[in-house]
Amino acid sequence: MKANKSKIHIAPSKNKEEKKVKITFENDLTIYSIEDFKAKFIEAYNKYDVINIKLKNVNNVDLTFIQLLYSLKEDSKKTNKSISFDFEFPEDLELLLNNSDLSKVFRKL
Amino acid sequence: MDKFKNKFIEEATDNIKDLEDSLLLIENDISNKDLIEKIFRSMHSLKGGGAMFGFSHLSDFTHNLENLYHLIREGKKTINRRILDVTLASIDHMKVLLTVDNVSDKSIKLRHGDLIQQVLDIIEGTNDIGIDSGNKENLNQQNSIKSYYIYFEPEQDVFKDGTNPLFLIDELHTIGTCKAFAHLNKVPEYHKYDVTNCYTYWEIIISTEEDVNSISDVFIFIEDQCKLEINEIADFDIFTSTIIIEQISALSQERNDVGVSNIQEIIKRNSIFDNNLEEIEKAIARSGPLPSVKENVISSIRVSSSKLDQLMNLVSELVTTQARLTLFAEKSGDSELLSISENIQKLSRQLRDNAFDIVLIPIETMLTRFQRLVRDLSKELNKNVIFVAEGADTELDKTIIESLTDPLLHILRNCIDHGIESPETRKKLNKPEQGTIILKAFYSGANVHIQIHDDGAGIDINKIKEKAVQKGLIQNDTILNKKEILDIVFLPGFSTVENVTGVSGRGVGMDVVKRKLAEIRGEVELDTEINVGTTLTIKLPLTLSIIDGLLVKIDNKRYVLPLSVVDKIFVTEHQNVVNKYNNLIILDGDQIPFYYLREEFDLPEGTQESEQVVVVAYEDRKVGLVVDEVEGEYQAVLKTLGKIYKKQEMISGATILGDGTVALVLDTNKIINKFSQVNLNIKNKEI
Repeated sequence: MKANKSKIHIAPSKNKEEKKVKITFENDLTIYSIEDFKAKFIEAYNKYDVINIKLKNVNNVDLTFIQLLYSLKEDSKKTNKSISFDFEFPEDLELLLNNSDLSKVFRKL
Repeated sequence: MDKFKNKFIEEATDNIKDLEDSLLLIENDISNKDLIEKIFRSMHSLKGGGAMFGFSHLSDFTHNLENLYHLIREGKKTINRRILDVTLASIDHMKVLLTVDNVSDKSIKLRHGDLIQQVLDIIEGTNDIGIDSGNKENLNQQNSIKSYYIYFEPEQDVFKDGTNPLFLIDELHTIGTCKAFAHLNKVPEYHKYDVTNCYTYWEIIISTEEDVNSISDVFIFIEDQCKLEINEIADFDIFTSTIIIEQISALSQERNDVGVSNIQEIIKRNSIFDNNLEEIEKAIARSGPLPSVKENVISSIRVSSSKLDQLMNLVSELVTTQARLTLFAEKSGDSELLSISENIQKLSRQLRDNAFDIVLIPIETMLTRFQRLVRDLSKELNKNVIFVAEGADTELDKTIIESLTDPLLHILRNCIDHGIESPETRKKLNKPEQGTIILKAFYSGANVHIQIHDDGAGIDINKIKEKAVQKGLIQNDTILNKKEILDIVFLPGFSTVENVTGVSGRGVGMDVVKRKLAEIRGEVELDTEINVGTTLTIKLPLTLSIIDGLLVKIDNKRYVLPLSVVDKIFVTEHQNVVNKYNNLIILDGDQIPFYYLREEFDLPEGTQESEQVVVVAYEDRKVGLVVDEVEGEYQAVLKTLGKIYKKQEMISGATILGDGTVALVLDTNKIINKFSQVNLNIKNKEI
């Protein structure tokens, strides 16, 4: 297995009444860290109503991560939760996602 | 021909603006096909029009860009930052070519060649087939191209062997023109699924010279771990037909699977259309125009701004003449004449309002320049800044908009250069790395307010004060409140910035901004908080030429106060306003500060028993202005006072009354500012 360089940072809003959180994912967003991501992400997802997901310094992303985001977004539609998205990919990843038609998942988010 | 040329320049300027708007939008939505189509169309119009009206350099230059965007439109290239940078730089160059369609100037020539080369480099960077359908070689190539449908569904455990299906689809793009449709409908609910499994599958269409075996070779390493179907669907490149691709894309959004049979049906339908095009055209010609299409529907027309200026001048003259007519009719006592005069008054008021509406244009017309500035300058200064505009549909007199652009550009430059911190600094301060500049426009009574807010470092008011003392603008012990200290920023030559940059910081600017805004009767205010940001508010009149006023008399001379600031009018006894120690008066139970204008204008004290107090709005307060007599409402056509009175701040203009005499239009804010003596004494001090 590759060394796990991924990072997840969960920052709840200072105003506790807001039930708002910002979740930042960094570096490798791949199968190697997906289990850890899922556990932490779902914990935050269940706890908060307004979730802002930020992807930064991403050097790799694979389908496992995209499927997780897609699944939670689909769930949020049924549960009145709000997921917003703030991301920037390097050019090669952007092309990879465009070519495989997965950038639409981020647009939907 | 010149007439047509000018017409083309006007249209091309609009096209270039549309182009710039679309490019700035597409930066955040790179696969928006409508925008790509719009960009392509604008380029196509510029190229065609340029050639037709003798702008050959513009036409040739745009031709290359059009080729690039054709590739993008066909999905053979993807928009990226480099393409956007080169296109935006090309747009700037196109603006130049529109004014001087020659490249004899050395710097223009260099830039022209450089940009063409950059565009060609991007085009040639493709591995895909060329786009010039007139090129025989390409046509021959196209003859051997076939199109295929691929269904690719990896098994759920495909990831466990380290396979990344995305790379396989990416590889398909290297052997032909390709479009993938990802399907995620099989992804289970989040609490029910194994995150290490693959649930996504694809339908892909590809047009390539390669055969089925070469396509299946792409999947060779996972052929036992996936469901793979490859079917030939056409013996030509279906990507040459935008309509086929659009219909397939639309179908993929409607349903989970498009299916090979549906794609074949779409191709068949559109191929029949192609083959029978001639017959269909004949049928259309026979049946006449489509009933739903209205011909010659013109919802707007283009009028030169000089004609609008003439219209406004004529309306102004009409208003002045109408005032004269009203006065004459009143004096004559002829009831019929009075009735006619009243009707003309009503009509001229309506005409005035309509003419105003015509010359009001939305603030959004300036926004493209601001967005470009923020984009380019933040990049140059290695800052990450987003520009947000609110209330862009707020309208202002076109003359005001024209005079407002430069001051606003200067303010934005200051925000980016000195306001917004570098991403590293912002990170340290626990701020988002991306700084935000918000331009907010909204109506406030008869005024428009424009606020420019940045969430940057703010201005240190202690530094302003220190610098003001150093420059001798104020004494060390001068006591000033926050607003007064911030007002120093607008003095000539004042700057707290240690390092002068190419962008700002020379201390030449904010005073000019204030002066330019004052020329259009605008006022500017600053508010700031350290590490939170700075807000600059500009208050502007809706229009410059005609105002609804209140005609008042002081020492037998008439003046006009803008009706928009008038709150109430009271009558008070003469003794209540003279020789008052504190200039306060009780009106309607409220204590209101007042100014006895006879005294302030150095006129002899009045002899009448009662005075009229016009209560006007001043910032958040009410202030009374005492006049001899209020005559009533008056539509004042504003005339400038000329160069001699340029420094006269209290008078915003003059107007001709019905009897031919001149009344001065008072600027109540400036009057109160001046007489309240809260202004800094340094105001007129030379630096």
